[in-house]
Amino acid sequence: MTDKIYVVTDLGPGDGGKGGVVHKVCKMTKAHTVVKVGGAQGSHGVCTSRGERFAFSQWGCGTFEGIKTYLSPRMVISPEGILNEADALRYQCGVHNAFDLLIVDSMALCATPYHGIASRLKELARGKNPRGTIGTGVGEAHRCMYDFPELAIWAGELASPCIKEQLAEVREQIRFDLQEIIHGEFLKDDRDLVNEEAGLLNNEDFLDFVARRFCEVSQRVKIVDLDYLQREVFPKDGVVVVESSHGVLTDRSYGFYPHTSALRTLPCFTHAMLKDAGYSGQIVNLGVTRAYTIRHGAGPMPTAAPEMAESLLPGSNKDKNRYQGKVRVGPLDLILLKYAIEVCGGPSAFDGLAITWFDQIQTNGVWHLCNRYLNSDQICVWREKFGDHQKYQEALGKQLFCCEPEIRRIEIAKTASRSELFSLCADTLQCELDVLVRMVGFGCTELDKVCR
Amino acid sequence: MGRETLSRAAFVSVAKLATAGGTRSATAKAEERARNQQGMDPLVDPKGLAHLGPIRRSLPRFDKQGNLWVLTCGMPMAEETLLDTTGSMENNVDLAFEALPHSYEMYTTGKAPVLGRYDVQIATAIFNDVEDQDGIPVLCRSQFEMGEKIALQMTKLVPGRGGCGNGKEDSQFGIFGATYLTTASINRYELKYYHFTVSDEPTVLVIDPVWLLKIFGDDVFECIKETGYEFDRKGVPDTAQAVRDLQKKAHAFFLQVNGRSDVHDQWIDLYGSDHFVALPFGTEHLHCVKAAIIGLTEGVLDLSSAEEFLRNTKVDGKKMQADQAKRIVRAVAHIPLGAQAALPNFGKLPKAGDLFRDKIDLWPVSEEELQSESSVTDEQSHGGVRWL
Repeated sequence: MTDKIYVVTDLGPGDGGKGGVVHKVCKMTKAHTVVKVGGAQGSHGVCTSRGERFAFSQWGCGTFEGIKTYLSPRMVISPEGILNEADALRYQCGVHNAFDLLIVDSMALCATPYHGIASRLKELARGKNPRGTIGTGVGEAHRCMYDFPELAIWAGELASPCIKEQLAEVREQIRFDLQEIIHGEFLKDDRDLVNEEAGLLNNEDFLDFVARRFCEVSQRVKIVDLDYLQREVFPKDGVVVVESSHGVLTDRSYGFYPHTSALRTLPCFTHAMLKDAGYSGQIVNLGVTRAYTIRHGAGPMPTAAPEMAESLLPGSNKDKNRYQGKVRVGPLDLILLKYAIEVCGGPSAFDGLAITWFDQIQTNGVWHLCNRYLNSDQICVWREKFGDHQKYQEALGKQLFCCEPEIRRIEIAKTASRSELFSLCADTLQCELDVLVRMVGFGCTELDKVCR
Repeated sequence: MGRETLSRAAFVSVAKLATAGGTRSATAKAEERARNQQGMDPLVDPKGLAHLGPIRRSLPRFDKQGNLWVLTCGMPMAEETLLDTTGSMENNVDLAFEALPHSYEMYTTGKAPVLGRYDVQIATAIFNDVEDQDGIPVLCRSQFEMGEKIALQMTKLVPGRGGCGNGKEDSQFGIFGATYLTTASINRYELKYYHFTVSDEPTVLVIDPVWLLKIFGDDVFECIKETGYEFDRKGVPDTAQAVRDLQKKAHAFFLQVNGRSDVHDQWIDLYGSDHFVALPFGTEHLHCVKAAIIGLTEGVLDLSSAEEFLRNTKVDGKKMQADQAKRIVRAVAHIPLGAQAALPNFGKLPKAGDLFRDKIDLWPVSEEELQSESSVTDEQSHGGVRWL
């Protein structure tokens, strides 16, 4: 019987290092299943001590250990992405049986390439005022599900003989929705991209291709009914790890509107899913953050410090794409970390924190933190039962854009041992956040992550 | 991970679809796609897409078994054939495609399969000419595959069927890929994989870095580092050096179609006479020639048993004629016999079913180690560290 489930939640806007943490927990505890919640929009990086490297989007971060992944009904999947990821796992990493390791719930929502096109075109139409998106269409599919539930495609329908017609209907709706946008204003540099995307919307061969790919997924993936957790996963002895996408600070309700994801991955939703499936064993809630703040894409980040880009992300800080923009880094923002913890239910909602990328702090010899904004009141979690929550979140976001952080420096002895550094990190954060630090990452592989 | 191998049934189903029941070339769809300026399928595009990249990898298949990893199908043995598809060579993919099930069976089944102990992983590459027009790619290169995907990826190749009549074809890029953009785990055991180049034309002796970028992508010089080489566009090796480097990690042979002396001379200079084979029947029975070469190199066959081995091969449903088998053996008799078998780790190679502590371990867990540990089954193996 499964007697312990680790729920891993990113306490930032994403990019916290969940991949490495999930892999570490999987390997250390010999987990038998990774359950994924959220969406396939992100990529969770894993580097193993064997030298394997991969950014997982749909498969769980325990895949290199032969651990199965269950894409839960709380997951938005990309069928096209599944095929691409399987190819990459096969040809880059020698995972030849990727489909034997993947189980998809029939109620997982499918993002189509048309949702991706819609997401990207809408972002391009925002010109110089981006919302911030990865552009995979995962969020767009989720929003469409609410607006046009009859157009939603569920994993259980991938094998339907009508899949091409369903896709055509999705495309038709998106074409209709985008009519004005496509003929509107765009930045000059974006015009080629717009034409390319719009071209695909009208390309019949592309529709055929997508339909074939969806059909292929239905033939290759094991698609299961809602009772799979209860029937197959929980009866297995050992441990399960729940891997969630993005982070609390981009939560649809508690993130800073409009810079939010359509999806919600707060631990309470996972708990409810587990409870509904009949699980009554131990749940260990693990919050993840880098030792510094990072944000990929638009949205408030009070501690953003471009001058730290090279020292915190040596060699990779110039990576940029049209949809996520340039990655921003800066001192660890404890105000926002406290906010994220509060959103999840406060310090008692977590059994531990996993702090990643502390090796970079050690290399730099100094740890910058922010535990106060000079010109702003507290950032409070919305607790009202009535009122305009979204407006409140938007105002919070605007407030954050104007915040001036007070930065505290902690000198780090470059010769300090990992044990000493763990203690320093844990003491500092426990004092500020009232949550125990239980894992500190001193490098990218599982061997570099120290647990207490 | 995974256990699939190529079955006749799987091949027939791929062939039926690709050839529309035998009414067109197996590559018709891929050629149409290229003509429509839609490029190659990313699986056979030498540069791949972002999620694939230009390196072709032959990697072992493991399944988790308790706390250990079981090698499911033996150590991988990569076999790549680089085919000329220009001019009179235009049907080479179809010939190789039709022969694939025979070829695979000669490698893996029957009384004396020449690669019976290995997990056979096959890639097919084709080359054309840089002057080809109409979306014809200079090079296509499949991934190393072991099941029906070997056949499936062959159908995605785009034979040029041209060649420009300019006195050469551009096979040098395929040789570059085979040498500098291939990782084969068999090399970790200091054994070699197999590479065959098949052509009736001379090659170009200088490898143009501009074309390398076009064919393999902008990060090609970054990617070669993963395979243990380091040079930039100014230091690109010439074709002769690429062949020398290839022969360090592969039993690499040039198989000549027709007997043009200038072609013969150039390729012998490049490969050495012992790795040059004049095909006795052109590309017909190519798979038999390759199997004979492999069998002789592996030491599975000697010159007399090779003839018998070939005679047991069915050609068009009949056994190969004795004189055909004899001619093939005569054509390959000069190659280094037993060259693979003479390598130090040949007899020590892990086999299917061996258990490894970790996927990157070179050698399996010994019997003694296994016995000294408590036996671990899937049900018992969950006892990881209790944390939090």
